[in-house]
Amino acid sequence: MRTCQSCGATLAESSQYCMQCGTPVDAPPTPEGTPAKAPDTTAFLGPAVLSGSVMGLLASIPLVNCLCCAWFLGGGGLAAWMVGRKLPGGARALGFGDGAFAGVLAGVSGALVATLLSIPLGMLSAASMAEAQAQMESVFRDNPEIPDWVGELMANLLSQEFSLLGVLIGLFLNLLVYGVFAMIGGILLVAIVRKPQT
Amino acid sequence: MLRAMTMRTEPAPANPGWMSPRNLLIGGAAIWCAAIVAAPLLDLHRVYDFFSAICHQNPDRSWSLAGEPLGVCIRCASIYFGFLGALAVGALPNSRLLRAALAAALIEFLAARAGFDFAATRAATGLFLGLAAAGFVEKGVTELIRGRISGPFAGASQ
Repeated sequence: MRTCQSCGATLAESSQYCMQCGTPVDAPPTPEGTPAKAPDTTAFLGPAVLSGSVMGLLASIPLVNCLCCAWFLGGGGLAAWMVGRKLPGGARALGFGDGAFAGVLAGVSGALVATLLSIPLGMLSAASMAEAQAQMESVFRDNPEIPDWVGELMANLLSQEFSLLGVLIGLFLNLLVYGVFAMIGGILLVAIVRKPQT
Repeated sequence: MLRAMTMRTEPAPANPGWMSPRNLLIGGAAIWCAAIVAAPLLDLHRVYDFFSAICHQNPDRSWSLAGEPLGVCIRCASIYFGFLGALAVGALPNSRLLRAALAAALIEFLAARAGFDFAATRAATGLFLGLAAAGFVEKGVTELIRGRISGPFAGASQ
């Protein structure tokens, strides 16, 4: 009885791929379960930077970013696909760890781009909020019947300070979200393109 | 599908190590899901802000707890809870199941745009997708840690 070298599932005699995980049956086993010919790390950098930049840009633009986590997943998948294009067998030759690695690098790249974009966007937003706050204060001055607590509430809502600490916290959170989701995108891309055959 | 949902049958390693990739993944997913539930219970605005980057958080399309919506919508919550559940029971990766789950999610998404939008279908397809994806994500994270990252995690088993 043949078993998959990767996940241990039982294989049919004529199978060329594992029906459970998609690993090619003829793939030589490795002690750590990693692909036999993992691409060099440098092969990941170009695709990761390119797909990460696209991901960070699209996820940062208002209205375009309405697809929630789809940009992160798609960016990771795109990075894995681009890395796979350099291999003889295409993206099918990638291991799941390679897909994850491509996704993580793309996520880091996307997080950096998104954080850099957030600086001018944040400054613009802060400027417009300050203008709105000034107008609001003028309205409250002209209408003394409005309770003080309403004015304080509105001032708090409109006060959007832009700071270096805020940018750093944003970068950390972006690294977390972009990295995790892009990694998952890279893994799922590999899982999808590995076609199981009977 | 039943085969994919089957728990692992191989014997557990003698010294699996609590910092194994699988345990790290389960811990991370558990914290993630706990944050989603804790947001309405503890009125955590920062958590809502965090999840706003990855979910529309429309209250009409979210489950509620204590009168407040969860941190993410029904579809997202179902994916994450399904993912955590599949990790916990040790579901094996199955590429056909994953493709079926992606197709179901896509059909449901398009049907919702066409007006056939139901909370139950969003939850069911989301749960299905989370269940189907978990095994692959575990495999990818394990290979990533063992193959590309050296350190205390690299030697952990399972």
